[in-house]
Amino acid sequence: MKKLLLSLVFTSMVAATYGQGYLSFYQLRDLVPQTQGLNPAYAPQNGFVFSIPALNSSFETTASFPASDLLVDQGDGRLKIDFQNLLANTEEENELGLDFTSNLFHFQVRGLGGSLSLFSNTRGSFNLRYDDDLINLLANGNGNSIGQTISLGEDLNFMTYNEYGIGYTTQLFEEKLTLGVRLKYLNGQFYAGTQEGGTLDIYTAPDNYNITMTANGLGVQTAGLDILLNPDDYDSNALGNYAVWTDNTGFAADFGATFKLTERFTLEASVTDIGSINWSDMVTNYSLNNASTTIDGSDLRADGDEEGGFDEIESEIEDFFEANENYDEFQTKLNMKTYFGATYMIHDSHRLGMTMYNNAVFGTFNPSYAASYNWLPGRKTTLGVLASFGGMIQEPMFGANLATNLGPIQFYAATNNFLGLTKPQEINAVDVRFGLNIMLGYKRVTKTRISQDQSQTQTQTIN
Amino acid sequence: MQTKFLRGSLILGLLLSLQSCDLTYFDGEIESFSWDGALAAPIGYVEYTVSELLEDTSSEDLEITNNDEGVITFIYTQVIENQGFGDAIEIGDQSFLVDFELPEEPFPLPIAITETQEFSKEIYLAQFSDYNEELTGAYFDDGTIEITVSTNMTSASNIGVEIPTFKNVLDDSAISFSASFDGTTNEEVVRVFQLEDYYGDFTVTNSGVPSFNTILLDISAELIREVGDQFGPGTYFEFSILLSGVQTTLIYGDFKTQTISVEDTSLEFDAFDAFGDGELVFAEPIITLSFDNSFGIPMGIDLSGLVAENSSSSVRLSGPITEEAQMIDAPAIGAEGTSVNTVIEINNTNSNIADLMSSKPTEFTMDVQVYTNPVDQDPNRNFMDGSSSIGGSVEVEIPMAVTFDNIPIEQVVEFDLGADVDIIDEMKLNIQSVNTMPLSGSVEMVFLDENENELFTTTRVEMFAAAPVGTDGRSSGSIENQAELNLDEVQINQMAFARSVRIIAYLNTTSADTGQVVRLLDTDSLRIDLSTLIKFGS
Repeated sequence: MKKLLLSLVFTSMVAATYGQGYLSFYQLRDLVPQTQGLNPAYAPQNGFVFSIPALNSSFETTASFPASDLLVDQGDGRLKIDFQNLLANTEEENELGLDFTSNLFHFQVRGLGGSLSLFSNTRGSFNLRYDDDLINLLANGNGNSIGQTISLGEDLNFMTYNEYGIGYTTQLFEEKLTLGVRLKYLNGQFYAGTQEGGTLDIYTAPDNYNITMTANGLGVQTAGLDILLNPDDYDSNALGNYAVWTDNTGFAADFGATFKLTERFTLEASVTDIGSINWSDMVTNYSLNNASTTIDGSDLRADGDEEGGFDEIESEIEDFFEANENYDEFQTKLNMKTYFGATYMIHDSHRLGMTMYNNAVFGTFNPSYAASYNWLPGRKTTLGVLASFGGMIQEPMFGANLATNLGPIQFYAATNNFLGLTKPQEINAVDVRFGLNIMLGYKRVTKTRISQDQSQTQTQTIN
Repeated sequence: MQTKFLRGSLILGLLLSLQSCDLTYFDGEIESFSWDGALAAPIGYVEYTVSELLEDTSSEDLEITNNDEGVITFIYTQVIENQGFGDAIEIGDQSFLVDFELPEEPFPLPIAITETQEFSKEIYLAQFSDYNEELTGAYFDDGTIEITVSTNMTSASNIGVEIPTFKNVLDDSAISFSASFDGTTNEEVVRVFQLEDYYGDFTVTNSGVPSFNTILLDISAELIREVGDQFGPGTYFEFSILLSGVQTTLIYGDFKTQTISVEDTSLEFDAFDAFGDGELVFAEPIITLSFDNSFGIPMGIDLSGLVAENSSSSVRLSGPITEEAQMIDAPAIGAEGTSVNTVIEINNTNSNIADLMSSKPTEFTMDVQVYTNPVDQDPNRNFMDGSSSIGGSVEVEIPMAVTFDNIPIEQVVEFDLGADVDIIDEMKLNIQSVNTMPLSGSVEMVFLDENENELFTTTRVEMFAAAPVGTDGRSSGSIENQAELNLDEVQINQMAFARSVRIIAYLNTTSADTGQVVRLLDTDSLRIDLSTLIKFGS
């Protein structure tokens, strides 16, 4: 139980959907090939890059509350699950998100006047938008909301898919302008999402505590959930086969660009995950009628042959929540991410940056911002710190990032919230990204260029 | 070299920083989850019509219906066992002796002569119990009439005897026989007739004028006298008549005005057992006595012996209905074997029946007197047979035109919370009612353990208010009421041991304090919605 609870809490804290998503990792720019997922214009200077499978992962969690709001230290080392404390720290609108990317492979070569990449990732996200009515209901029940309508309009979106893509990055206008594009074929695995705008209103009448539930547009679309939750109902290898390949197909594209205004001042922009998945395999959709029911108790005089007591109430609730099912295919858009930024090289090995990030989960625009500094002591190494603010978490966070090589092996790691290492219970959000790549054939393309990452002029190949 | 050292240091720092991730906060023991929210939810509802409300609290023998005016009415019926008057139709064993002395002849007859003499004799029945009945007829199913003829004549004789009172049921022929005597001293002839073959007509007389209780004997004697025969003094014929073992199946006559002993009848009445000690006033109760009489005897009944009793008091029926005997009609002659129904209604206009009912009796005793022929027709034309009886029923009809003043009714319902109540800090029971009955109810609940020992009693709350009434006492609308019952922590903890709840409702009719009589209609109803607000805590 404790493990499960901790897992949930930790999961709620960890991985960068609404928050300051991968802003720290973003600062690694073209030193790390996986940054192309954030801005396709970032292409490593190496002639050949190959990521080590399964050793390039990222996760991001964002929650409107730190774990310590829910698990409260009682002063004697014991922890108490305290919904009241959680409620006291809950905003009117709250979000919880989880995002992960597992890089299956990344292969990149220089050629065709640019950098060409092939890649595959398994990606997933879980997003929940909830308001304080939900937490109030969990904390206080309906007893503190008598005569008021508790309106549950939570939005939920859970999706995992595999993406297979090709990317191309090139430099134009004497390398002032770098353009990148990635085209991705998507193969959806599992999906569950609420119908947009659906609400469930719960009203407790003050005179008799009758509970009226009103459903408006409540519906859930799912794909693959049945085989995920009930694998025993299928052949032993059915789940594995389904996870590898399904008929849920889609396409997406990432676009990115950088433009050097001066030798030291560069503008950057990217839009990623523009696309959608058409879900047609293992689809089950549930919808409730727009209906209202009032639980007014049972007939206390019902005899044995009649339905009465809690059976009657249970039956009423079951009837209300009896969903219509259909198996119609549907389409979902990916959560489009947007980065805008600018960097300034104040010295050949010191870079300042400003970055804005937005993840359009549920179509929202709620950007976060980061101010960063990176020290670039060599061609293959950077160490940076950043301060970020905004997004759902309106609190400053301080993170760090690192990328360096030992021979052809590149190590990198980034987090936007360093506090998570020392006091994980007090953070609302964290993203962590780390990995290993094999980087070969570092080569300057032009003879005289002040790299964004280093100011030295080189023409030789370095391993 | 310097660069490689830097890179190595960074990687080492990275590994160390990952290693330094401090999760000790989560090492603490997580307390058992305790929720301190509150839940408000409806429990359920009960809907009662007036009759249902009263049914749940009254006895099984009570029928609750509504009268022609739609007023809820208690009907309580008890059968009065049929009663016959077995002794009254027995004709007791009795004997009669009739002597006929022949006239003395002072000298012997010079010639032989045969002489016929005829005699008629009326004898009269008696011993019809203690009555002065004047019987006019009877059919029999047992008994004999034995006729012994004896004589001391010394000359031969033939006698003929006819009793026209007893006629054969088949051919209407009278009992008759003949006998011959040869002149031997003290001769005797005995004849016995089974009465079941005959019917008796006790009106037949020698003069032809109908009478009653009469048995007529017609006797003819043929005296065959030889020359020299002489009757001395004391020569006679003697007729001894013995009626024995007589049982009638049907008997006619004038049974006169007599008081008949009727067994006391007790009518247990538990309709009010559930009404406790409160003040109860019934405005329009009715007791209907229904008699089925198959005696051919009109009867009168004196109802002043009707008494309503409870453990502490008794109220005797009084009023005009008790001042004279009430008639119970009878079938007329010719309608033997049938019965006639007579209904006697005891109501507010002829008695103090409302006082009897309002005393909440547990029993009615009927120590009543019954009279035959309360109106003497002289003669009365009565009959009765072995199956004649009088019986019927008593129906107590109590229309709910009442005043209830703090009348308690109670119900015990099973209760088992079946849950851990330790986590409950407070509990509020919310009671909402909509009532069209002109009855209010304040309720208290007694929680009982498995041995029915009292755990605690809640405070009394006004659960439902009485609907307003019009001038006719009928409900003129509905009234809503809201009440709440708060249970403290001690009571909640005791509830864990409760296995039943005795719910006591104290009923008051609208404006009971002013004696307002209200009428409870079948259309009156009460709905109570129960809901609860439970606050949880550690």
